[in-house]
Amino acid sequence: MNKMQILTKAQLTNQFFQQNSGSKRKIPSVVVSGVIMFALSLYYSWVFSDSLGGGDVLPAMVSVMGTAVVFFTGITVSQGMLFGFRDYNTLMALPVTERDIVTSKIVVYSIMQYMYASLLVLPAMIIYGVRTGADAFYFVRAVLGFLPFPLIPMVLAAVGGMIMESLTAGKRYGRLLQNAMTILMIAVIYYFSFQFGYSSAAQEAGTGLAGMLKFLPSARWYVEGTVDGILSSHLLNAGIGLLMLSAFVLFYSKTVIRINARSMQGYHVADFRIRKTGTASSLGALIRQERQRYFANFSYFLNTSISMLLLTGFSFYVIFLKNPLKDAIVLLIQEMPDETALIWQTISLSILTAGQMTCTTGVSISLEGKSLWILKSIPADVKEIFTAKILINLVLILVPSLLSLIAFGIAFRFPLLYYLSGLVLITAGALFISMLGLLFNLRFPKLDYDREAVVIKQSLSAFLSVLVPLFFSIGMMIFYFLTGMTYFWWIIGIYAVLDVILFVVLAKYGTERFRKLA
Amino acid sequence: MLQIENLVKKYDDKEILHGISLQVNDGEICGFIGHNGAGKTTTIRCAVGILPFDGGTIRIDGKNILEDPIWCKSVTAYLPDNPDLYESLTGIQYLNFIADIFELTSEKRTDKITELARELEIYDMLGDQIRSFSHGQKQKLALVSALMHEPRLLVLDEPFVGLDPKAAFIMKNRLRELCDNGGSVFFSSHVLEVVQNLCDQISLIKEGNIIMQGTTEQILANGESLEQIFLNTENL
Repeated sequence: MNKMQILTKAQLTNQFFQQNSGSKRKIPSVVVSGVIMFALSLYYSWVFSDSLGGGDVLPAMVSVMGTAVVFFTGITVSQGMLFGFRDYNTLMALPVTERDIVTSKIVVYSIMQYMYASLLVLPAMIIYGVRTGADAFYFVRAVLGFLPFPLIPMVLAAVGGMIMESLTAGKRYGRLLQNAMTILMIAVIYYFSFQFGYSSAAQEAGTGLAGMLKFLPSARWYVEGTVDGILSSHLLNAGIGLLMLSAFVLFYSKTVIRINARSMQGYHVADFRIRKTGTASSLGALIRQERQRYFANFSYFLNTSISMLLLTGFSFYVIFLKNPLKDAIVLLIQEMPDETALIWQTISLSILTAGQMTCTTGVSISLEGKSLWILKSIPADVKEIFTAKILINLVLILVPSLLSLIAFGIAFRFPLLYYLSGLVLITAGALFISMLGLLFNLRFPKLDYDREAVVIKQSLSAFLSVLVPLFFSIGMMIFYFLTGMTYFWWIIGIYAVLDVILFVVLAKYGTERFRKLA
Repeated sequence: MLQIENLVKKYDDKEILHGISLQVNDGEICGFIGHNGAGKTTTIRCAVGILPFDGGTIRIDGKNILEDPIWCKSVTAYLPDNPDLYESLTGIQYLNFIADIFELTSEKRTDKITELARELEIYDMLGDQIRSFSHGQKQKLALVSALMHEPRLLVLDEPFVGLDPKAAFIMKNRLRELCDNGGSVFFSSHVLEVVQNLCDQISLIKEGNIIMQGTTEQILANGESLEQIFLNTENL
């Protein structure tokens, strides 16, 4: 094994496998998560292939989604893995070449991107092949053609991450700028995807997402190469992807030292003078600390805010811009004036489902990491610590949800009383998400890590705290529709009961777990 | 001020502390020495309420840390061996966080932070992100946060590691000053010379047992240096 391989192996082990304190050998959480994700992906691909109207929509849709996943996760993963990595000093002091370090970093980054893409794309391609009765060569094309598929978005994401890091590292409001740039980027992509989503070309394809294929060459070539059997498309993907990767490796190896040094330095303020500040209660101080941590951590912010950002963007798109969806809902309300309550309830449930992705508590204990001693040694009640974490999560769900409710309410002229029912549902659901996430994190904490992104993206707690409420919420939606849309208040009641149960469990079991953490 | 009685701590099934007892009286500095892995940090982390323990009692100023943890922590300050602070905060943001938790008034915190930060020569960098601090600077910042609320008990784990000589000198003076005002200090250290010269009391731990404790005079009564006494314990 050469030195580059040794470095890569060590980093992969550090990335994916947590050393257990006990003597028993456990299955790494990343394997468990991967298997569950793959199975879920297979299941959903099967379900969606029914509703998408056949044709090439499923491969087209997952290729577009896979490209988006690789691009967005690539931007966050690259920061901390390719730039600003904490083991920089250790690695540079070892008798290895800079090229070994650079190559090993890129290999680990690539493996992660392949992992994310494969969990989404390959199951769908398998389902598509099975359902259309494709021959064996189709499956060979799907798997081999997948190898160059993530290359282009992966490199573009790394370049995007590098630009962001260069612009923001070591600057006082760098993280704020980074978050603002991300929101802007999402807004632009979102706007164009919607604009295109309602164009005639997309309607022919059956879905707006699939229609975007036109703008994403790597996804298009993959679909053409796999579904249509055009070998040159796969070769084009491989050729251009490898060319871009090589160019990036060259550029990266020349700039990594400079960027890394800046990433690690933090910002400085000249002529500091202490000023009298207002005081806060201990709960206030804990909330402030949680808020500062949230907005200072790009990966944390992006991962947990994206669904609410998309939701808010979508709501304002519906209200401010002329679009077929708005027209369709207006028409529905006009034709069925007695059913406005049902439409509102469906909107409220959909908003809550979007909120499932915003679970900050699911990693908030893990993110204390090595500084957990601070919370454990200060004279603050454990319940206060929990409250601060839950409140931040609630605000992050409730503010965008409320904005969306208002946007929909204004757009479709729903009565004011409806806002209240929507708010009650979302509050009860948001409490459920926040408390369940905290419990998962107390049960499965990961306090030892080299990058916070490892906790945010790969920990078992992060995984469970998003998926379990998400499936529960989908279950509630199914329950709502199967029971003839008459049990909306029951759903609120179910959430309220669960909130009470979780509160009791947190107060007893959660407090005890926190005391045992070290 | 600090009473530890029959403290037992296990990690999984392995017992690390085998029923240790020690006491730090009001106005005294107690040095806690021992080999690597002897149980110093574990004892300290139990004493300040970070680690739960499996047996025994820990009292701070007469109150049981398990029964009244908030009160005990409100009169205690702890400085860990490796000050992992909130790296995304600035120095002043971190100090304000701690000041709020300990309910310091605006005037008091401003005065104390200014005084301590100037003395430890980190005042000018309090507006900088903690990420940019060196190990020693983080140690100094943690020391400011520990001293600014005037704790009655100061517990420190290897406090001199990473400090420059001037800061170490200031710290020693501050510890003595705190004790002169009726407070107590309990700290672990491998710098035996400092322990010998600074402490009123010394406890020596080996493999989870206290094998020697008493006043500094009692321990050094036979004329041997603390270093020699420590090395002799290899054969115990």
